[in-house]
Amino acid sequence: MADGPRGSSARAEPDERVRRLTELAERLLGDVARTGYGEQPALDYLTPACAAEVLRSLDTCIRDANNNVESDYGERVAGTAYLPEIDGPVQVELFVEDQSVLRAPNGLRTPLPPAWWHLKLELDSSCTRITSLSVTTA
Amino acid sequence: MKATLLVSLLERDDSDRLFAEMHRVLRPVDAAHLALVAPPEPAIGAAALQLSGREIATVIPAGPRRPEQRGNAGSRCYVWCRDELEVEAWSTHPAMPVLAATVEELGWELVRRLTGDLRDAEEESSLATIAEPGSEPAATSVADLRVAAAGPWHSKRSIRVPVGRERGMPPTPTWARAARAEEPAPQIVSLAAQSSDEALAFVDTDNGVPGIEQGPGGVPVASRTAITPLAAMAQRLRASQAGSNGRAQAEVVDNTARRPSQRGLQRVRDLIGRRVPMSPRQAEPDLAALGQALFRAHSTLVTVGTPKGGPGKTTEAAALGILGARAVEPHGGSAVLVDANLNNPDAWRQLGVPSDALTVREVVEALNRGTIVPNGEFARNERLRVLPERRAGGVAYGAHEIARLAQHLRLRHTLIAVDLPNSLPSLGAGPSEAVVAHWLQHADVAVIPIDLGEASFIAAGELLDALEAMVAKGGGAMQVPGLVIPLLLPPNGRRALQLSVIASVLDHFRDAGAAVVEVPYSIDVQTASQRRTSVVGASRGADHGFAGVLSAVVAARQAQVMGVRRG
Repeated sequence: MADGPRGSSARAEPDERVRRLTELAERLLGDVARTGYGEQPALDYLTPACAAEVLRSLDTCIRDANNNVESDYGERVAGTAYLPEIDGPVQVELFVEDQSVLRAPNGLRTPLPPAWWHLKLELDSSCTRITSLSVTTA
Repeated sequence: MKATLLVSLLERDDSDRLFAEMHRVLRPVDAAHLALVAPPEPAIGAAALQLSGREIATVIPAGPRRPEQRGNAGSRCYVWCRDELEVEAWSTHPAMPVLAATVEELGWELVRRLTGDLRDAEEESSLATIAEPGSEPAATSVADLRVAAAGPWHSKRSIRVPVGRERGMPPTPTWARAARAEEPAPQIVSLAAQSSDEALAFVDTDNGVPGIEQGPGGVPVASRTAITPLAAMAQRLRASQAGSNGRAQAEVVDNTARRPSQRGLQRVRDLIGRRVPMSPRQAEPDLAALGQALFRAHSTLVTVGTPKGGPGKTTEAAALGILGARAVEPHGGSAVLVDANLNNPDAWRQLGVPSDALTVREVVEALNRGTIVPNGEFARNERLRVLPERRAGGVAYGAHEIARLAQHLRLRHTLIAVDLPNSLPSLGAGPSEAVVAHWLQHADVAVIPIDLGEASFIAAGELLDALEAMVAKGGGAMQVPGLVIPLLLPPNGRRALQLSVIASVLDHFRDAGAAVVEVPYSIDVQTASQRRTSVVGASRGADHGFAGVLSAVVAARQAQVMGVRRG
């Protein structure tokens, strides 16, 4: 289904929106996990302000050529999407298990404290961009 | 760390891919101490297997030809096993089997073992050393040594660097691509441990590792925690961004206040699963190989039951049937699910079996009459049939009826999975207890699902005791079935396995000859029937667990066929 610029006719079908938001959520989790390796993802599927805030928050994560935080946020994720029947932002809740490990310079892997995170995303009506993001402990 | 020389005697393509993967995931600090060598032809390097001392480690494919056992030479040899059957076949050999479904997973596993991630004392003693790093200048680069030792054909061949992760997964670390970041290390954020559980989560200590410090008495404490990316986001990102002009609006997140209203919203629940594991934990069982093993055994009758309700007994049986049917289908075999659960015959509703389907009672009556017995209802797959139980009460079976039914099904199906009632076997009690006893008489493998509850452990123990009593009473007429115990684990349930009381009971089960298989359980598996979806496919973790159960069943059946006595 072709998406117009705006209006209810532009709204994607629910299945298509679920596919898109699932893809965006996967990209987000994968990109966030990459920062543990010292990489800085583009996050071009977030609004600029939202992406900047996310990147600023990730600055506090370890960035060291000798130490890596190995995360895999795609391993255990439960997601719930709230799709409005009329045009409006789509809200998504993700519950992500964090079983990251720390890779030390000597090669040893040390598990970090396990945790569950609750991510709340807000997407535009056609689920092409993340406009808002918050993270709390679950 | 001492330098290690690893010789690959795999096929040339496999060696290429193995080394590419190992090179990709090796840290530079480890790469300086590990040399990878592949002879132009595997046969030329076979002499490496016979070198004495501990100078060399080899990796060979699992196959009928085995290295000769000369001293401890075999203990330095890793054997690439693609499934648990091959592991089982090599278990009595001094060589160390490595379970990996693909070359890439084998590479991960070898790196983990050779660099000391997971090695135990026995394995550590078998690691080969050629020289200290300082005295062996040649052993400074994996790539250099590999090309130099293996000849020019390596450098001419286009080595396909496997893409081990699909989109959505973190890419290869920077250091693994030989492009180390030169930026200075930033200040590590300090975060005090939130609870004693966090401190317990540290299983290893190293003063050189950020985030771990020695507490009083040498106990590791999380006084300085290296935070993860999501933890970093949670610390700062409690403000949500909104507004069409792109300006950020600070807002304190309140979980209750921000919960979306259900009114006018269509709630869609979806599981966003991982496609490819970031690090290999356990190789996926090879269904085709399992199917072949089942087919070779002609027929395998598996009972699934425990006196305690709730640990996913029917779900396990359904998953066994579905996966078993998939496994034997390429070989022309078939599977059947038999609902012997007299107390709760509605359970097969989750398989979408119509209410007017042929029942166990009708098949038994046809067998009693000696008439043509119709086949059961198909479920999901043409190779999977289901025999539900009659919903009306008053169903009871005699020993001869179950024996006749078991024989009838054995002649027609490769795998027979029987869902038993929640009862202990007893011929002198009610119909449920009797039917459990009758089916166990014919079981090749008994699957006893448990969860983390104490009652579940006790029930499994009682059933094991009852089985032992039945075998003793039978005086050789009854064969001891293979034992498989699926352990249902809720999210975060693995932490409970560290409890000594649980670990000791599981060890007791293993001592009794049972294979304990962890099955991660989630709400998606529990609600599969409500969503009209199969229990297999609802959750990747559960699927892996179910496949592990089938793999254990096959292994138990093979051991039985081969006459291997359990410990």
